[in-house]
Amino acid sequence: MKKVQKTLAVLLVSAMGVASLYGCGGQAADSQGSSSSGQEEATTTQAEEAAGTEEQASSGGAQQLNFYAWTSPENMVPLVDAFNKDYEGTYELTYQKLADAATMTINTALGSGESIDVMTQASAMDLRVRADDGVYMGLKQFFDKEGWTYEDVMGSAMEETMNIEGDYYAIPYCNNINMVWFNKKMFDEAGLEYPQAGWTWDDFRETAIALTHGEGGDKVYGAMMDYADGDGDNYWDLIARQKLGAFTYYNDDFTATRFDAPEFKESLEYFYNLAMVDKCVVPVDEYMALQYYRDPTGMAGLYNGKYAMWIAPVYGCLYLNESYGEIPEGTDIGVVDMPTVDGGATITTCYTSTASIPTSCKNPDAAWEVLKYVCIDRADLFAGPKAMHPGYEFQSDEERDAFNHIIFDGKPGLDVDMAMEVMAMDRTLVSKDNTVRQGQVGINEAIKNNLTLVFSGEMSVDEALANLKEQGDAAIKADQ
Amino acid sequence: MSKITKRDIKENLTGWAFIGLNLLGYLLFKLLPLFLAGVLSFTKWNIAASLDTLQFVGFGNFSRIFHDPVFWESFWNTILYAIVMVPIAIGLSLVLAVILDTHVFGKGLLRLAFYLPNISSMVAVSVVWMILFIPSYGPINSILMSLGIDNPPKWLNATSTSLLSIIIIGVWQRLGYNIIIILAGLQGVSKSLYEAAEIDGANGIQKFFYITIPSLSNTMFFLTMISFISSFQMFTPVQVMTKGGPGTSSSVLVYYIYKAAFQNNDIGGASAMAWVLFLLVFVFSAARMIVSRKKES
Repeated sequence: MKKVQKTLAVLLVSAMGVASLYGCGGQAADSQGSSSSGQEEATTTQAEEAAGTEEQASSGGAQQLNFYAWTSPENMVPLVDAFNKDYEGTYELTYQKLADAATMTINTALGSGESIDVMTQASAMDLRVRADDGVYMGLKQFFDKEGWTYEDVMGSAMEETMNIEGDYYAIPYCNNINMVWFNKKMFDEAGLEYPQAGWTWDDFRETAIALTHGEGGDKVYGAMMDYADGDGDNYWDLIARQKLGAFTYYNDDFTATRFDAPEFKESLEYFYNLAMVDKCVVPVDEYMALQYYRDPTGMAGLYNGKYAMWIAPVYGCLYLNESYGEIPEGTDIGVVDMPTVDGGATITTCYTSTASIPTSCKNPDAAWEVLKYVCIDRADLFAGPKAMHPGYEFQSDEERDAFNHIIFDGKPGLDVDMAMEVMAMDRTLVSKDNTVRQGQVGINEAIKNNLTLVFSGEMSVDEALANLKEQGDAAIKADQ
Repeated sequence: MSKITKRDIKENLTGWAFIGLNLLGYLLFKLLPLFLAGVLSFTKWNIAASLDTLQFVGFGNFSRIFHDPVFWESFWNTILYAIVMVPIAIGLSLVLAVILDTHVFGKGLLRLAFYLPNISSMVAVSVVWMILFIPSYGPINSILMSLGIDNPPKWLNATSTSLLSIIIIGVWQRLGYNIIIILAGLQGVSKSLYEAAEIDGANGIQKFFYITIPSLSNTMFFLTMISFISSFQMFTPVQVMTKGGPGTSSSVLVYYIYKAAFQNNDIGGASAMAWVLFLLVFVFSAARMIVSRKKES
């Protein structure tokens, strides 16, 4: 009996070992096979692909295409269904959900040897690195084939940041325009007029001070700002961005930073005063502890009356939705353009998430069809439901209004009429996307390290800017 | 030399078969990645790109990290965290375990209460501690202010106290596990030793220092080792609560490695730092074992 038990144990353990080896080996062989196809297959023609792959056989002749993003699968159903209907018999699109938009998540997916036709990303720096390392295809060839120019379709602000040495490696599938969301009831209770387009940063400050009241845990703040910490946006440089334009941190030839420019001092001093002198914005300790850097929490803080104004992208209104938390009865959220520097034309910051075609994709022309569909042809089914504007420029007021309706309609607690009216106004966009590789990691680290000290009261504005200049320049030099 | 019999071979094979799967897992998922991290520490590579883009940079990554002040700050913070947190956590645990080992009302409940932090999600726990630490109206500072302290610490929001705050959480979280291990050790201490000491007129403190502590030396050794190794690998509270800040005041090695690899795509630099961390743990473990063996002999 003992002998039988022993033999059985040995057999079972051996079988498990062999199974594990076979499993790992099989997967490795598969992925090796796919990755080795890599760049060679990128040049394969559509006709060759149409000759019939396994995927085609499984989908009744239509070629299988894979689109990777981090949107939840149920929200992708309308887009995928529409694509598969429009390209019935030719292509069969499958959506593959990524865990998140993190650099490593996307890099491991791209490096895994999986068949990826279109990949999305949130970071402009990641895009640049992948483009430089040959992970993505240049898209100018496809624009040329369509008879388009990037600037005509996507606008000059996008073209400026997406142009990587004369080619384009991604199309923004959304354009997140920063606006000021405000709690109308809090303005009413304070007897203040709602802000209007053309208001200045001084107006913003006065309003924030007027709306701040209370003490301790019951204190209500005029505004919430994203500090250079957590995962939110930085506000401290907004004024500098409005004044200096895209690639704000760099000089004209990208050989040094310009943190010594007076615009940066003006910008940082302004936000320092809001936080540390006037104390009319949520302080950094509460901001971190209550996680206001997360957009759903940011909107919840606004409609729960913790603060009266919140600078956030248009998609902030997405969180006026019961699925993100109970919205109090009578919630009334308004929206206005970002304050101006001098009361003149509105200049607003924006940033994008983008989509690209990996060089390892089997059929570039088919991948282009997906990319075009997702970013341009049917942005209403991808960016729209996420309450994001598309990356391209609207060709008419009707087109713009129709898209804004997709974004704003059905958001309980939002003043939709005000939102529609505000979004119809003219504004100049300054992109925050930074596709310059030199020094970017070092600059971002320096910003975080120094600015957290400024907003915790341990470093002066001048000292922080001097450090940023020194550390930023050193980072650029090290990368050259 | 005795002859190897068929039975010996069979027994050996049986033994190998039993450890085979575990060994395979160790080789594939521990030793191989360790080796690969060693290789990657001498390279520059974007994981998304093909292997053709992998560049050998010699000791470039090591040179770079050794010239990086944030790396050194993270390194010293890691050491500081370990050398402050571990003795406090073990000392406190010892005292609490001895108290819990005697006749205390609600002993079982207290043991559970002390052990709960150990099985709680560190992410959730960190969020709660962030609220407790809010300088202006958090419960901790509210108590301190009610006790007459006008300027209580800013805890996570000051460079002077951010790491201290994380040490406090580390001690709190570690207590339960330490207490369970020490309580187990206390069961092995012979009651006759205490009885003999009592006959000789020893008081409670003398019994604690001359019987309890020496009898727990093996348990203490185990706890010290485990605590130091886990404190060198501390990550979650920093990631959730401070992101290494304000400035870089609470950055620790694992957090810095994570940032390099997962946020800044610096696989080579992260691998080099991971090897430095490995050496730190290895040197510490080896030194502690040598000391222990010398002591035993």
